[in-house]
Amino acid sequence: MNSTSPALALAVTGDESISPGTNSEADALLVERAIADPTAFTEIYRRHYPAIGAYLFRRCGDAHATEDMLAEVFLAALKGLSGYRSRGVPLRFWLYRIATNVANLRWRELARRAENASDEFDPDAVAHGEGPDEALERKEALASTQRALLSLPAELQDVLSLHYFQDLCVDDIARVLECPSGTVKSRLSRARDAFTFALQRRRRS
Amino acid sequence: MNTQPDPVRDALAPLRAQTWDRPEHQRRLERELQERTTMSMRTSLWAKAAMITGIFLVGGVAGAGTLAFVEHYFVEETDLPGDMTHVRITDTSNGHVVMDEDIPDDAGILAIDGGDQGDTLLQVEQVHDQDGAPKGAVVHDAPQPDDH
Repeated sequence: MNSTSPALALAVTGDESISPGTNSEADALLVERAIADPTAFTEIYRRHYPAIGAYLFRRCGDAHATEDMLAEVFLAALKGLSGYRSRGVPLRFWLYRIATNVANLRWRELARRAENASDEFDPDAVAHGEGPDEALERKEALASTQRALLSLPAELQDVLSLHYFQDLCVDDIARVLECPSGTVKSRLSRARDAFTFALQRRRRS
Repeated sequence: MNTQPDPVRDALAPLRAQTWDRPEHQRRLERELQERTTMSMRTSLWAKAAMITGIFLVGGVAGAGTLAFVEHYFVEETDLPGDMTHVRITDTSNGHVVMDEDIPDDAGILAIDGGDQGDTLLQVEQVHDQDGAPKGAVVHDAPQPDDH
């Protein structure tokens, strides 16, 4: 996997279970404060940077691209803050929506980069207690999984990533993507089949 | 949600285990966002100043139709030594600098090229307080073009 360093695999951040910002009333207040005083946006940024970063990084596996996309997401959020209307939708869902759009705009480039990324052994990427062979095997498995995911159409990547990486249920994904829950269910079903097929094909080859 | 075996979940587990912990990048991006916020607050003040200019113009030279046009201007003023002020006016709709000149503090008539909408004249005067000290240039409606 390109651009993956051991440092990235250490502290756990970005899981929904530890992500704040699920209270939409508190979110609305925070947004109002940031609109009145843009310097207050920092609080929103600090709260949501880890989860949005994890979401984007898990989707693409490329640290440099993730950094670029994070900048795009938070700049877009800063500019569009007045466009956020709570309506019961947590702020993090709104940020996921922006992040999803940013990732989808770049997915072809990300897929190309993943395909061209080196599979060579990287001594720095060896985890604690792991031998070189195991490290290489783990890296190859990670790369093939990432490539299989990135080979899917963007709308299928969206639902797989939000569901399996960020632990969002069907209804919450529907709120992020602003589409009916039935559409999410159907996409999730297609995405599972397509991903399984893509991964098997890669493993066979 | 996770009660039944799910091979896709298992297959995606290595990607899910990827974490994002980049404090250096987080700090750098935070600084960038703060800088942009500060810049945007300054720009907002200037945009208000430009809008005020537009409102002045409505009743004077250009007519009501010019208001939207004038609102696109971003006016910057920098005090210079020797009773001069550097005035730069940028059309924010296309980024073109429509005027970039040093003008005398005490008075000046600026002609802004308005393209199809015709030229717009602005009169710039230095405002002095009661002690005669300059307080800064102001822009208001200029005399009718025919007067010149």
